[in-house]
Parts: sequence; C-alpha cells; structure tokens
Amino acid sequence: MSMKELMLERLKKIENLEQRQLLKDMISGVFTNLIDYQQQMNDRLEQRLLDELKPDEQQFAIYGTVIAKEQYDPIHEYLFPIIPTDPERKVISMEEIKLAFLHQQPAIVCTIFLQCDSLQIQQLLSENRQFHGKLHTTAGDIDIQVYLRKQQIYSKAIEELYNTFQVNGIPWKTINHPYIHKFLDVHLTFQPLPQDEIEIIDMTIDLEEYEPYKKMNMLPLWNIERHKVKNAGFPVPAIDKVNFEHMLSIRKLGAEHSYLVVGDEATIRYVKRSENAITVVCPQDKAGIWQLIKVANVQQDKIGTLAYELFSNRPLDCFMQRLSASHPVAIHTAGELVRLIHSFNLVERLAFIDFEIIENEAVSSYSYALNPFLTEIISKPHHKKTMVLQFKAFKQDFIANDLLSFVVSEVQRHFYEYNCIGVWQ
Amino acid sequence: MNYIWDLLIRAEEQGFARNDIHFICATSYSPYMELSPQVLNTTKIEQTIEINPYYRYSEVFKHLFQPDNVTDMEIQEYLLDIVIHFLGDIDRMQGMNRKEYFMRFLLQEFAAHTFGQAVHSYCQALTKAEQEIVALNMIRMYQTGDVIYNFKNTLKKLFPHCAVYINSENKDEVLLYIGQRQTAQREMKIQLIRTLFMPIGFTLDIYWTQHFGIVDVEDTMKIDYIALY
Repeated sequence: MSMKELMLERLKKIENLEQRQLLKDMISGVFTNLIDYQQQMNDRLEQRLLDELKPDEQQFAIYGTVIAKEQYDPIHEYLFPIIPTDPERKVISMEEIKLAFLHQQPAIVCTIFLQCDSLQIQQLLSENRQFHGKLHTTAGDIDIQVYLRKQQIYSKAIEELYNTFQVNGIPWKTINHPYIHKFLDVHLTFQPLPQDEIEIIDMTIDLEEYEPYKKMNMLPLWNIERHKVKNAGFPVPAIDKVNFEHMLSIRKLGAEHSYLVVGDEATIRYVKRSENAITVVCPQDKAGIWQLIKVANVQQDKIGTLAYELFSNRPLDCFMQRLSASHPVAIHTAGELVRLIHSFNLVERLAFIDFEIIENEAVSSYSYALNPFLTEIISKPHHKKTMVLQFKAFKQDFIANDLLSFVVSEVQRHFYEYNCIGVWQ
Repeated sequence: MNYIWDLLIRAEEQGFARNDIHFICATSYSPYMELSPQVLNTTKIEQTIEINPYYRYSEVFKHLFQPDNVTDMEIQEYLLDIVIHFLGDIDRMQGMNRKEYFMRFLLQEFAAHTFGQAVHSYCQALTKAEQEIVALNMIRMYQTGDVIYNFKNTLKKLFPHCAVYINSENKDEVLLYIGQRQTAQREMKIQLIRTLFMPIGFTLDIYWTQHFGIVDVEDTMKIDYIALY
C-alpha cells in the first residue's frame, strides 16, 4: 500500500466532516507534493546507481532491415545501405560478362532477395539447380542459363566490421539482421554470347517453384555510415615519442552517435572517445584522412514506417544486463542462459523452452552460425558436446529461423565449449 | 523494539499491511523510548501503537500537541499517524547502500521473469531472508565470476546441515547431503540454487537423510544409515 493510499484511507475514518475537509485540504495542498518529491528523490538515486553500471552499454547497437530500391531514402537519418554503392548498381554490361568469362571468374548478373525460409534456401543451394533466363538486349532477347550462389558481400561487410570492433577495443555482439542471408547472387553459366557491340537493357530469370519468393532490387540497410574525416590540427606526440595522437572532430557528424576508426592493428595503437572528438593513437606522424564508421544511435520513434520489420542486437536495458556488462566474467549456469536469451527483446517472436546437453550431433538444426569468423577458430564441433536449445515460435514466418539463429549464435559466443544448435518445439 | 521503523519492519514480516498499523500519541510515555507499549519488552505487534513523538521529532511536533489545545482532536490524531508513517518511510531509506539497492533490483528482476518463470516461482518458496541470501550471492557471482564458491555458499546458508562434495576428477559431479527430510518446498529451493548457481554440464546427486559411507569417517559408517554412492 502506498503512502497516498494510506492517507486516503485514514481520511475516510475521520468522523467529523468539517475536520475531514480541513485535513483533506492540508494533505492535498502540501503533503502529497512532499510524498511525490520524496519518491522522485528515491527514484533518482536508483537511476544514479544504475547509471554507474555501464551507462554506454546501449551504444554500438546494430540495427538492420531491408527495403525496395525505389523506396530507399538517400537522406535517411539512421538507415544506410550496407554496401554504399548498392543503390546505383545498374544492369551488368556485356563487357563485364565477357571479362569475367575471360578470367574464368563468375559472371554475376544480378542479386536477388528470396523471401522464404532459410532451410528452403539451403535446400535450393545444395541442389545446384540451373534456371532459365533471358537477357533483353538491343539486338533482341538471348536465352541464358543461370545458377544461384550465396551472396558473400554482406557477410564480408560484417566480418570487416568485426575486425574494426576489435581494433577499436569494443566488445562484439552478434548482428541481428535476419534478411541478409536471403540475398543470392545469380551467376551466368559459361556460354557463347554474341560478339557484336550490344547493350543489355534488362534481364529476367525464372526460378520455377521459387518464383513467388523472388524479389528483385532489394536493398539491405543498417545504421552504419562511412565517413572520411581529416585531422583537426596537427598530430600531437604521445609521451612515448613513437606514437602520435590524431584528433578527429565528430561535432559535424553528430556527437550522439558512436564511432569506429577503420584500420588495422599495425597502424592503430588504440582509439579513445571524448565528447566531441575521437583520438587515434598511432605511429603515423603526418596528418591525413581517416576513415570513420558511424554507428547511428537509432531513435526508434524517428524511424518512420518500414515495409520490413527493423531488428537490432540491442539488449533490454535492465539491472542484470548492466551488471553483467560491467563485469564481463563467464557465468555458465542455466539461469544465466535464460537471462541471456531473454535479454534480446524478441519475446514476441520466440520463447525459450528448455535446453539439453547431448553427446553426439544427431539432432537436425534449424539455426545456422551467424559469426562464422568466430566459430571457425574456436569450434571443432566433433569433440564438443552439443547443446540443443529448444524454442517455441509465436510467429512462424520467413525470418523465424534467422531470429532463432541470432539467439543461438549469441549463446554460442558465450558457451563456446558446446556446439549450440536451435530447434523448434 | 524501540523505533518506529523497528515496528514497521517487524509488522511487515508478520504479514501486516501498512494501514493496519495506527500510531497515536501516548498520554504517558518514557522519555527514553520512541515507542511506548504497555509491556516494555513486548515482541508482539499491537495494531494501535502509542508513541512518544518528541523522542526524535520534537522539532516536528512541538506545536501540534500543546496541552491547552483540545480542539480538532481528530485532525491531530490522524495527522500524527500519517506523518509518522511518512517519517518511518524516510527512516527505512537511511540504511540503504549500494548492495541493498542491487539486491532490490535483482529481486525485482526475478519477479519480471528475467531468469524465467520457474525461477520466479521457486523464489516465492523462500523466506525474505533466504531471498536476500540468494540475491547477495548472485550479485557477488556476477561480479567475481566465482561460480562454485557461491554455489556452495548458497547451499550451506539455505541448508545449514548440508555437505557439498564436488567431484571433478572424471566427470563434473556434485554430491549433496542435505541432512533433512525431503519436502516439496526444499526441492524447490534446490531447483532454484541449481538453476542459478550450478554450472551447466554438472550433474547433481542428492542424499536427503542418509549420508553415503566414507571409509575412515566414523559418522558416515553407521550400519543401516548408509546410502550407497
């Protein structure tokens, strides 16, 4: 019972109505404000205690969605194409195809988005199917044969980002972008093509039973923008006289966002962030141009409506999340496993049921590894036990398996002594 | 019991709601005590408590109960009651420190199912003091990363007669002798500790009333009272 409820209850007990009115006036005039004030002060103290625990935990959260090219907004505040040149990518030219064939490289004619389940895509890729297509050229239509391969560019972009996180000393979290693994490259099989100077205007391909899932001209977005920034002033020698401090001003780009400096371990010693600048400490003594990655601090309410749901790897902000982020120690208990899974803000999509440790890998997995660059190094699945994580899906749509994979990949990152796989109930 | 907060905390532990406790100004009281119960050393909670408002709060109340002031008695009575409840609230924040706050945050998160629904329902089977032990050890575990220490410590505190043997030679195995009869409530306690503190991959064997025999330890080698390992 709150203090205010107590007061109202007591008021009702006063029998003399005149005195009841009098006390009511006193209470509503001064006392309730006093109680509110006291409550505010207590709340503020609680918030201060929470803020001492890693207040910057929410930064460097990566958001992701996908959008049709014609709906893409080039001046969007928070969402940018993963590959900056993507929006301008045109139909491939005949010269490029010929050049690719000449060097025996794959001739990629376009990239498609398959809006279907990850298992269906795996199935399709494993079948090595050939499909028919047509090149519409200035000299008429040409029949072609194509096959599909997994798109590598976006996975590479994520791996590069991971390396940049390491160089900058920022802890990595698996990226929750359920759409990027549904992009497939359309490769042209080697075949004789007309030698004349003809231009390709457009092309069509027929994916047979996969046709309903096919979406052309889709653009994956995330909240990362690349910038080139010049030193502000001259490099300042650091105390060891071998390294120099380079100040990069971020006032213009927005101080509320997070930034990473692109480079490798050899050139960048370390990076530090102050309110309006990034300081790079490195052996280079000349001022120059630095590549900065801006991780936009997304304001959910300013995003606008999106055709495809926006996902992020941002954890729920709560006490335990902050406590465990400020003390990064390995706690491998069932409770921690549940906490970790619940921290992803996916409660509307999936619920964790139970887990089981088994000796062999006899269970077929619905999840795939999202951090292959991590697991390749640390995991040799055959000597490890398997941790089977069982989930229930509330919405069994085309990204359900991808969200499952995100959760399982994050668990895998923490419980690396097991080979983690996700299954549905 | 001497102070108003003493009484409020005790009343809460015994299941009284806040509005069950009614403070009134005593007609005669000890100048050395804040509460003036009829029986000085009572531990029983009376619902109407006579207090000496001048013991700590003479500055607050010195104008309220003047001897010649006999009008508006009801207002005086209820105002005192409300103000004392409010002062009691302030009192109870005095001893808060970072750990106390962390414990409160953590217990709130149990209730919000951060650790799953099961943990919340197990936690309800615990007394308030036991919940605090669990919360304190949890926070320490997340700060130090020492899982086994806090696992054993929580078991020892929640089951005073228990013995914990951790065998990690061939397989990770915990043998737990409780020394009490098996009840549903104790099962829940063990489930809670197991979920929150036992590392994944360990197996737990529970011996409730009978210890397994250990050669050379006389107490465990009584005929008819030996469990087999």
